[in-house]
Amino acid sequence: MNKKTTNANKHIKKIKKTQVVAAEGSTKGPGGCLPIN
Amino acid sequence: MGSLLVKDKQTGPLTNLSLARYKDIVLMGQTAFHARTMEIAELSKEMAYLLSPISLKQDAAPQHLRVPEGDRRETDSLQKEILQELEAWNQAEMQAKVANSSDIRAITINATQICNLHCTYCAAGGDGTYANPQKQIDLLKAIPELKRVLEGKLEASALHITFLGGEPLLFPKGIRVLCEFLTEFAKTKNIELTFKVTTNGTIMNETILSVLNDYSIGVAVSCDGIPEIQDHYRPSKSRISSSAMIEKSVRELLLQRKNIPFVGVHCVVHTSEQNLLRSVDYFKTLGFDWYEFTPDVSNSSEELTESYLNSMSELAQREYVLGGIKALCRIQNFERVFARLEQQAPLRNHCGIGKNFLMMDASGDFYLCPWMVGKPAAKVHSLQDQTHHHLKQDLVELHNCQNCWARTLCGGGCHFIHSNNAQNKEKSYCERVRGTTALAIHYFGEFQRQAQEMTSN
Repeated sequence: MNKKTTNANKHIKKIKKTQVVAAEGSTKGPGGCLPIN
Repeated sequence: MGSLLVKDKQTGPLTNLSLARYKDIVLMGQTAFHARTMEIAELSKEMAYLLSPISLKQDAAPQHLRVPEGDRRETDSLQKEILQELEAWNQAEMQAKVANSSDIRAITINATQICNLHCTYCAAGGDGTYANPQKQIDLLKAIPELKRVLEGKLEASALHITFLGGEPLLFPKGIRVLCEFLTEFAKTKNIELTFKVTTNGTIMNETILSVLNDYSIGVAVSCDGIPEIQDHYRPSKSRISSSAMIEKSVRELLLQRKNIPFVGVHCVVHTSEQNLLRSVDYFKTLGFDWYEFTPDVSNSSEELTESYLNSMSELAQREYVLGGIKALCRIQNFERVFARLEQQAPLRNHCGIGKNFLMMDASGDFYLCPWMVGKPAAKVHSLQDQTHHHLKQDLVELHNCQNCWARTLCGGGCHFIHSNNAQNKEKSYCERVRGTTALAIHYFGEFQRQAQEMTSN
């Protein structure tokens, strides 16, 4: 699992993300409100 | 870890969070976040130094970079190189904007407008009734109305139903009738249907348990913390301790839980004395799957903002040490941000108000939002109603959030709260959201770095 890549930049190292949230967790909103993209 | 807990005078007296920003790049501890692309990164010390410290009160980006000390020629050349790199990242393309769908996605239904509690901050007319004589949902009107607004719903789309009140579990038979109708409707269009009930958690019996299990209804209990606080802010009309009632009911619910996807708790944070670590310890003894905290919106004091964010900060640190990122996922305020960071999908709307959400009251009438039930100006016939056409605009734009670094994770915030203060947005709301968002990004970054170290060792 490669989670972090180094790009050509010297000062910025972007971080790849490992999934931590279950798929069903992604639709919950604050106080029951359903957010939309 | 723990850098967020170091007091930084430049961030202001309100919080212990140490933040810095350059345009759409904001740094929390060691994690940098790009507000448009939603990427996260580590910055070199030299680059991190150049970002200007900001406070949670600020929504606009600082105008200037920090100037490093030292030999002028050397620093000028290094600064130029760093700035070019920083600016190149800042200008990174964001994903193409997709038009908002007008397909209805969520309906909240007041199954009752009566309640057995008498909460000090009740938003339903003070007693759960909204001053409406209709105590239980009028099914003869509600079902044809639901049928009408769902008529054009897209095939194979999703529909989320929340039962609310009053106290909705005072009318489980009504909830069953609605679930039956909606399930049958969903089958005809291959719709993915989910149910949730928001309850005060004080009532549990066989009729309730069977409808929750039969229709896989997730349960969110409103409980404001330890018994001392819960009983003060959410007393029962019968004068029996509401926390004792919740403890008994939740125990029964968890024992009889067969097909209930979640049992979580919504907690309103009332005063600067409220200790969220104690609240979570109490919620753990009750066995909730997750916890969500909302600071009292009627209390916009700096005192509450400061104590809430400090308590959230202490809670996050303790839970991360005890159980890592999975423990933080149980706190909804953080989990929501983690999910957004993973998806890298900018959030443009805090909720679907005026776009793809409707609220039905117990009389079977539709409103824009649960907070607006009973207000004639917020009554709507359908999502095509032109009276509130301005709500077709994204909330991030409508609420003038274009300069805030947290906008793609917050979605412009609650329209009810901001529209209550038409001249100016509710600043305390924004500050509190920015604070918990910053904490979430910080710990998400910590976790990803640790995970990387473990795999590379």
